[in-house]
Amino acid sequence: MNRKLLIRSAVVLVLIMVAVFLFIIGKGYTLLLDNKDFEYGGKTYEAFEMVKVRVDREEPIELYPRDRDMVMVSGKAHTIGITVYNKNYDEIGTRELKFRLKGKGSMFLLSMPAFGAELEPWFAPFKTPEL
Amino acid sequence: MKNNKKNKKNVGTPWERFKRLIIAYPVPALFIVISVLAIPASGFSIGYLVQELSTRLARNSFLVLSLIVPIIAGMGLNFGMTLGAMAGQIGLIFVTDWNIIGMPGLFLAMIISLPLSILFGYATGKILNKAKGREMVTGFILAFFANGIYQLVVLYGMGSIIKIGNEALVLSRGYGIRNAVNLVNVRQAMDRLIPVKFLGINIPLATFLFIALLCFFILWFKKTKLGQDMRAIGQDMEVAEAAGIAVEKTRIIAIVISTVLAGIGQVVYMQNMGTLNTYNSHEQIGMFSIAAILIGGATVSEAKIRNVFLGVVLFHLMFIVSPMAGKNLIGSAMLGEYFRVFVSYGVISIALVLHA
Repeated sequence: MNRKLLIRSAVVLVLIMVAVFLFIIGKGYTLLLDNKDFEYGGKTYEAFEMVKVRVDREEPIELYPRDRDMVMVSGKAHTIGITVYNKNYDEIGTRELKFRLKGKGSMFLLSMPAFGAELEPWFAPFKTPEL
Repeated sequence: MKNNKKNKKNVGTPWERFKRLIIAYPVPALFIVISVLAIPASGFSIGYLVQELSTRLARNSFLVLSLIVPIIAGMGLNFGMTLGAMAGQIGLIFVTDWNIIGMPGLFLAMIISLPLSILFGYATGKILNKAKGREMVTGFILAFFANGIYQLVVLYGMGSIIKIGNEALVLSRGYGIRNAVNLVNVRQAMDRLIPVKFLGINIPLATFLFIALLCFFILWFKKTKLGQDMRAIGQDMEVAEAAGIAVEKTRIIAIVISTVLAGIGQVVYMQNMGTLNTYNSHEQIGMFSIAAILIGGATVSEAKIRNVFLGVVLFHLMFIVSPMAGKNLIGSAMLGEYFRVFVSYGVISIALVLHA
């Protein structure tokens, strides 16, 4: 009887742990990829003429000035890479970074000019404005 | 003895053997005849039909397989599988609320449905033990009763007592889940996990592997002591009791297993559909799954895995071709749809008359 109870308790415990693990790795977040002018420390970091953004293994997204696009990801740890182009579509720079989402909420705004300038913070939780 | 039986099957002319086969499996034979007539009338290409059948096999097989265990245990067709479907849907509602995406979302929904399915299955098993010999009709009515409780919880409890954070899920009055829940987070997560294309047909390989896992589980389970106990109970309850088998407890376990599998099957079903009709998705599941397994040649006392796949193919072939065949032959797709519904319920009646 005790052995049976022990095994059943262990199974329940394992299931709970698996459920918590699935919750953490599966939690969805919306990343808003923003290519707008970014103001920080009294300085304005201008939007890129064209930037290709790749998050994890998603398809690259092309952003032009004042563009904003979104990508849905799961979990908090991700990789972001950007390739910046000038007006003539010549590649002028790249940057790749592994990062961890910090802060409350399920939506984050990622500023590409801030990321390109290696500023901290270049992303922040985003809350949709209430009407 | 076995050799004699095999020899008996092969005795006679091919026509006599064919006649014996038709007599042994009248329902699948009838459906094959109807399908042979309806497919050309529908005008659908073979490629289209194969693609549709591949999708529907992946979507429905797990649910239909969940019916096998209670049949082995002599409890007939488990109309109470609807309760398992409700548990699966509750899991999906929570997963959507918490925004858990992809395969982790699906597995989490299955884990959440487990305790609910076990509870529902236990309660169903207890009630069915009090209604020995009348399990099917009791399960049928129990599903209706459980539907009322489900609607009470989902329409009034969720959003008020059970906190739902996602406002998009809740009705405008502030509580109660919306009629349609968009499962965009988990839509086709399993189907697209291992995408395979064969001769232009998209095959949801991961889903089929998951279904194969259940098939192996059923084959293994039948060989275990518990599985053999269930077979013994299915053959003769009194003899099984006399042999020392805990009949009532084993029957409850059979229903619990079926309900749990139905809960998991409903999650697989809904991830393919992509949209959860909160108050309707579970209603027809029991009826259609039972119709499918009966069409596949199963009876209320015997069911094999091959009955499941044959039944799903034939039943859903009817689903696909009837409206168009009706439109091309009679001029009204509605009549074709009516014909399909008529045949679906009719086949359950025929199977019950022949084998109950």
